[in-house]
Amino acid sequence: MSFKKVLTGNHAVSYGATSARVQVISAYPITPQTTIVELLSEIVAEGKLDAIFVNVESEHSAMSACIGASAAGARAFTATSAQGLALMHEMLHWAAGARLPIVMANVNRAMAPPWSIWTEQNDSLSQRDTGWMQFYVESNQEAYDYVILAYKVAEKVLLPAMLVLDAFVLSHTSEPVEIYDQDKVDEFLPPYEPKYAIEPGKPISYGALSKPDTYMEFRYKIQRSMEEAVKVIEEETAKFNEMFGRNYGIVEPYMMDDADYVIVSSGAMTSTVRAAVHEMREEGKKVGLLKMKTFRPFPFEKVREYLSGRKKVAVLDRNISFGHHGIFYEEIKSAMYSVEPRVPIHGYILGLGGRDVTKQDIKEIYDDLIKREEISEIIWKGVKL
Amino acid sequence: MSKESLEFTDKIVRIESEKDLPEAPISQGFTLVNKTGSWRNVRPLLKEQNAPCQNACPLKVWIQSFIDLLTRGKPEDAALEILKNNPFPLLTRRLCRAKCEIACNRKKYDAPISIRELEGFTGSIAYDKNIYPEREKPLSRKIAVTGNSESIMSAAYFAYLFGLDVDLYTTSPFDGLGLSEEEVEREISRLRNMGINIIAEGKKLEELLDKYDAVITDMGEVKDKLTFQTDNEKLYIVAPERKDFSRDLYFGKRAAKSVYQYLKGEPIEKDAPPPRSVSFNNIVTDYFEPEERIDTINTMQEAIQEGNRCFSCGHCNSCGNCYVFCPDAAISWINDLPVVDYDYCKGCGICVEECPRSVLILVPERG
Amino acid sequence: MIEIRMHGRGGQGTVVASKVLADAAFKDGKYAQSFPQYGVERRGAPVTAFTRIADSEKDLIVRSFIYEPDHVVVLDPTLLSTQNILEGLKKGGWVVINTPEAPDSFDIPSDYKVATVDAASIAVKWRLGTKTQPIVNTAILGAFSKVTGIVSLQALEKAILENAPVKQEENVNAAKEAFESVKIRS
Repeated sequence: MSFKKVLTGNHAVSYGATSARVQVISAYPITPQTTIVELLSEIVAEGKLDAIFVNVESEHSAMSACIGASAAGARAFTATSAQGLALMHEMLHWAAGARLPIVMANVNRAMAPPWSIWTEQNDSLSQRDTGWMQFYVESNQEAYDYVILAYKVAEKVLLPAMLVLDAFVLSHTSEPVEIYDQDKVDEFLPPYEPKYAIEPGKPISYGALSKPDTYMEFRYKIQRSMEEAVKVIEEETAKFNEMFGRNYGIVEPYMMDDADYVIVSSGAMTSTVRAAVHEMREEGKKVGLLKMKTFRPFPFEKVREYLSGRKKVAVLDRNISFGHHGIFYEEIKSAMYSVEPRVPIHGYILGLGGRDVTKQDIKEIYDDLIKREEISEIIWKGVKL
Repeated sequence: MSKESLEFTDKIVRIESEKDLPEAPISQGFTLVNKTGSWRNVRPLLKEQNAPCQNACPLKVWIQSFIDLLTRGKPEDAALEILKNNPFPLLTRRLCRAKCEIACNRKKYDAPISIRELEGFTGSIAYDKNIYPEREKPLSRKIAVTGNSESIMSAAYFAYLFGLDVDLYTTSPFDGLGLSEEEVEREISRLRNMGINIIAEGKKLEELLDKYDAVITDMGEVKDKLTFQTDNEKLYIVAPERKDFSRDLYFGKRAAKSVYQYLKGEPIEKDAPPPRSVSFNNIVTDYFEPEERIDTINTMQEAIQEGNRCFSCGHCNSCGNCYVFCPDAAISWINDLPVVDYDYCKGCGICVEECPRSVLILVPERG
Repeated sequence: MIEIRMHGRGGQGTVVASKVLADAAFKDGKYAQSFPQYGVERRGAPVTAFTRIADSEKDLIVRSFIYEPDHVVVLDPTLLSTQNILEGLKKGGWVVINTPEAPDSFDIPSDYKVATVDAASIAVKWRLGTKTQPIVNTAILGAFSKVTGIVSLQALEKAILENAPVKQEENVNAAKEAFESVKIRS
């Protein structure tokens, strides 16, 4: 039987990995991720999950251990944050290039220096081009659900997937989470049957050299799988919704039907945006919310579908690509390049390093948006300079 | 620490608003501006506590302190510490029942400290060098102490130290203890050299009561066995029980104190029971190595070696552990003692935890 | 929606208190969220934690800090002199303080309702924490439950049993004792 329990976002992820019956966990502690693998190590030690917990000396080794386990056909899991994710960088390319469906939870934390332990998306968005799928979750329920969903999609398209949750705002926030009946999860996510696996009897080797006459083809195949993943995500999310009574999508619209103005958001701050949009609607403002659940593969079609024909769009970025703009802003603008007539899109940078994002902030952004004549690619909300 | 750092205040960049933030996330100021003491809800205090040896000693000798002084190479100071409470350390070396050693916390670890030997050895230094404890301000009151017992000798000793003028009437001092003539002569001459007037004859009590401000004797009926008062407020009677030599010496001290309080016009108070002593569980034994006990002490080297075995329960012997362990460097070392800087002490309690001898305690902060 | 802010010090169980309160509300059939304001969490450092309680998930709970709480809970009375505990507190809100003092002895405006409970002594009695560092979180929640009625004592007991890492029964007893002994400003 499914049951509801008040859990932190991190523990929801641990429960997700347990429900997904991961077989190998390798991780190195880092705030604010630590409690994910702390609980998992307890669950493994208590024999409630038939998995091997591999202690390592760094995140680079944690990802390496997951790569080895996944190459051997195991369902592998890890979790990290910020500098830990950066240290994994080399092996992130390796995991995707080797087509290993590893799932990782990254707790969004601002990169140092200056040191910060609070939420910001630059750590995960810096790994944009590694070949990993990225899902940005909004609630603890989503954190739990997307561990299961990520494995389903990853194992279908043979690419690794990262679910991303905000430091503290989700990771250490407690709220009710529904934990599903194991039989139902097993039905949705059957045991991993690897297409390629290292077995003593049937030797294969990973990491061989590919000369210029073949390398490009492997890259092409990754890109094709990413493109295919869009469809797979939509299909699997639909199945998931049906089985577990959710309402997920590759992107998620809220009050969008007749919205002239759209606020695009991602991650945990979306809850605050939703509440603000709801209140502004009650005040008669024609505003809607588009939540970017999936960042890679980028949901071009859905973004065009939802943003075409709007009067103005505000993209909220809890990140910055120095020398450019907010990263979601860049991507959405590029997706909308071919759309006629041109939709004015404005970029807002806010909440960096865990600065609180309030309902009032969102309302002020809306007021600012409707006043703007010229397109503003980078607007700093709340910077005290 | 903060005094020296103040010289650098001209280099501190004042950041009044975010506009003053430098490009690089560097700290130009001292972390001293962050007075983390505000986080504290308990504070560490240096509080000397009684040791079990001290509580067990009938004479209440501050054993941890004299051993500490001895091992720091201050034998004269150590001897003076003993002489404050023990008038005849060379006699107790042979005659004391050494309840201190039975109570010694170290007994639970390997073997008790040779306290009686250490005390006797240290006492002999005072005898060799003619060292006497300091006397309180003379009161200009004259008393007679009459009798032959060890309690009477002790009463004379302490009455003198309390600042009273003492005529000691004794015909056969330390009678009945089987002391050699040399021993008796040694102790009597020390009492004489201190300043006690010794008269080798007996006098009638009535005569003495007429002539002196007060009299202590060892014959007669005691009214109060804790203060040794009698129906006559000028007369105090103290006699040895002969069960415990040191306890009999203490009786003399107690009688002398009663006389002193009477002559000073203060109420004669009974002794309060000693506070609870530091138990073996309060000692962080991890800091101590097993060390063989030295039973007989004849040299300073042996004394220091044996003294170093002492846990120093409840007495700061400046081991410096708190200073070393404080994660905030909030403990300074002044005059061989830890001084806590409460501007920065967060009340984490590590110093208390790591004090091997249970001298530091935590007390709640009042808001 | 009801918003509660808790003020304590690292080591007193402030964050756990906010979570237990959320869980108790959930067990009463409501929707709840709790989160700490993470900063320099060290033993003794001031800690703030928040709980939001709504009738259902549909109430659109935001994920920002609580600036205008309906009630505040003070786990360490020494914070009253160093922090603005009443900041943003809505009129008519409860101030529940762990202190042996009477509720009348605090200089708190009459706009607010004041309750005190000697949670430290109760915690010491049930051997929660140490004498110098009692863990007062479960006791003060008992007092909060009594004066505000926002969560039931039964739900609170269940939430404590599930969330207390050790001494579950003792924690429940502490909450019950505080429930009975809380004093209200007249």
